[in-house]
Amino acid sequence: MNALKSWKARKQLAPYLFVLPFFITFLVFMLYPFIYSVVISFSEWNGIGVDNIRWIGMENYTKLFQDGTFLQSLINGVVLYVMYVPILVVLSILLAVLLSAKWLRGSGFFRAAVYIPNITSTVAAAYVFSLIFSSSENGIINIVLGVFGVSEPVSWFSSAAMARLALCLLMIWRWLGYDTILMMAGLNAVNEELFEAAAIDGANKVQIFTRITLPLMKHSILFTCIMSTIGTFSMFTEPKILTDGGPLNYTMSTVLYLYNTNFKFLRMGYSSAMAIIYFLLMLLFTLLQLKIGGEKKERRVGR
Amino acid sequence: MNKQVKNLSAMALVIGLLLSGCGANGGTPAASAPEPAPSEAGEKDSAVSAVEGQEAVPSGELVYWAQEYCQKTMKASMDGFEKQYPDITFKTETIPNNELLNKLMLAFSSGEGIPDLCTFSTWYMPTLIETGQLLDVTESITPYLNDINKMSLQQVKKDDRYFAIPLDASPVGIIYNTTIFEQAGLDTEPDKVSDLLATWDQYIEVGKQIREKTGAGMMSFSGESPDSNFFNTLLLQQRAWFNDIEGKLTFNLPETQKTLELILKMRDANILEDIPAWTQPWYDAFNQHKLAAYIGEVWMGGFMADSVCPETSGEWRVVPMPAWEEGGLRSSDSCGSSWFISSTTKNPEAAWATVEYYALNEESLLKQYKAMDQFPTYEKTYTDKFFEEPVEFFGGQAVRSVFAELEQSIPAMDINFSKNFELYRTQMQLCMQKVLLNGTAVSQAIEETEKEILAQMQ
Repeated sequence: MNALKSWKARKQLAPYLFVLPFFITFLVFMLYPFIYSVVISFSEWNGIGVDNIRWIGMENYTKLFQDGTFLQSLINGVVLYVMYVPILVVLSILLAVLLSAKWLRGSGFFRAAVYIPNITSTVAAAYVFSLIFSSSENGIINIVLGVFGVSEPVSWFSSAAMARLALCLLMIWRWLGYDTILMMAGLNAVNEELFEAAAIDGANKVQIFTRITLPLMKHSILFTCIMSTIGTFSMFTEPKILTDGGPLNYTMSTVLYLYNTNFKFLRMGYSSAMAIIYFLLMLLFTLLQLKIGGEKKERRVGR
Repeated sequence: MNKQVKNLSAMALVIGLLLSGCGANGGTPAASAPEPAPSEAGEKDSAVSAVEGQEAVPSGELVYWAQEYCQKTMKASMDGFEKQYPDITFKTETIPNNELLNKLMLAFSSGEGIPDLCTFSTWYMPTLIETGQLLDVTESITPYLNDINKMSLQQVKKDDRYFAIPLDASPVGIIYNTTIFEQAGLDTEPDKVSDLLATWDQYIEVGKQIREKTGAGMMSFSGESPDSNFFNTLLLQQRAWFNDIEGKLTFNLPETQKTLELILKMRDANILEDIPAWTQPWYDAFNQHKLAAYIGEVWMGGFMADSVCPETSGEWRVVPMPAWEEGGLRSSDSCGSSWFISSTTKNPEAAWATVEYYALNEESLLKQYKAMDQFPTYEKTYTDKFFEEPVEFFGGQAVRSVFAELEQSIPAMDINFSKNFELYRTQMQLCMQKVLLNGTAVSQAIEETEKEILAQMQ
């Protein structure tokens, strides 16, 4: 009797044990640092020795909103988002539809090919991009442009527009495969019968795509947009290697600036305040997009 | 009710996503609790001095961080060191100069993996000293103080205590290419070229001539990634700096304005090669005769002969820097690099023995100079006849004595690069980009930069 009881208790306990590792790592590596950041965001601290902490209240936060570079990094985030996310979403939907098409031979190969950039080392990729966009006449793009009669080599990283363009191309190259997989998952979840029914009712391919495929992929699209928002503002390796935020901070992402203030200038308190504001902004953007996306039917947004 | 729970869980999911987003990108600052504060640095230093008098030979393994250049100079006088201290070994880590600051700061703030020894730009010594992680070497360095370059010493001192040991000075001159000067129909003899390039105005005029006749640039300077070291060199040549000795910002000075205007003037006269330094195109420019001259520190000779353009050996000569006005100072010095010992080292005796050998020993310093043009801050070496020897890379010119003269022509100056150096560097780069790329007026760019520095200064 007793044995049975304890077995039952254990059985009830099992699921909690299985999810425990996640919660432990979440508490230790996410929540604890987060709370720690909140605390030191009210201080001025170079990160060396606890006795160096000087409590300054809200000063970091008020400073932050007068910090030109921080505001610039937010603007950069918005500009970059507008520049590449729509292209990324449209391209990934088209690719997903294409790669799910029944007539396509060797779709496994193409799926792998599209996804490979995402698992390539970002550092290596960014470095290769910096060679491609090199401002010298030996840069690959400048050589190609030279063939088409552009004699003066374009210096890619000395104008805001060109540097951002290079960065966007790198982002699209890197994330297209990932987003395509997400879109394909959304696409495959659509009931086949709907397409057949529509076809029997005489809908053409464009109608099927716009009236059935797209609306039913809404959740995948929304999820991609949210992930891209976070991805854009937290861009780090790409601008660090490709432009280091330049020229004139036009490609400075919020997280790159945060990293610089924290590890270059050792302003732990200030950068923590930045992290908190950044977190709240991302939360706001995410909720905004959920709202715009019309979450009326209570469907889960998730992987 | 149910709806509310669902909403809450959705919210939790979103927060979790955001948090993991931050974490994965290294966004949230490392919040690991730092090591207990290091024991008073002074204690350890007295240990150093106590040991000095004894006969025990220091031994042990030391972790040493430096860029490749410093390791090459170190190797040049390694045999003498091994004879004197056979039991000291090194675990050397090669770290490029532009990553060294970040790596050190990370190590200091986490308390993990701090090297025992390091050589790094003297620019950053005040910044590093401020962290409180450098060993106080005041007692050990005192006997040598009179013979070390004063301006370099100024950078390694805080409240009259010394925390690092200056290794090399970096007098600046013009390194020019005789082949290109000849092509342009100009004199190539150092004496005559020195007169030809006596002032910055003359430098620009000669630059125009050379551009017209040979197509080569008179120096390299990139608008895309402007070299703030060059700006600093010009500022120091006028005996001005971002802050005064008390650390008060003195950025908005006529000298700052003049310096930016000069760079702009050189750009507009089309005498600059717009190539970022230390990139392949830059190396190519030296090798393919696209650069007639380079305003450079003494160590540039070592880099050129060793890796930048060894094939052009014999074509280069050195003359003093152009002055701002006739008869003005024709040199500048950015103080090279320094050694420091970290206060967490377990073996301060061996660390000091190493520093003493490599930075304060005449024979060792001269060997290092010979190998990589690392010009000593230790002034006792300047009288050595080695300075008069012809140097093959510079066509047999005795460039070492040229640089020694330049170094000694610089009047003493009471400044400290300050713990805000990296901030100055970053902001100055932006300031120059504003002027060179955006066409912002010099005075406006300076005002904006001053404001930005003031806001971020600590």
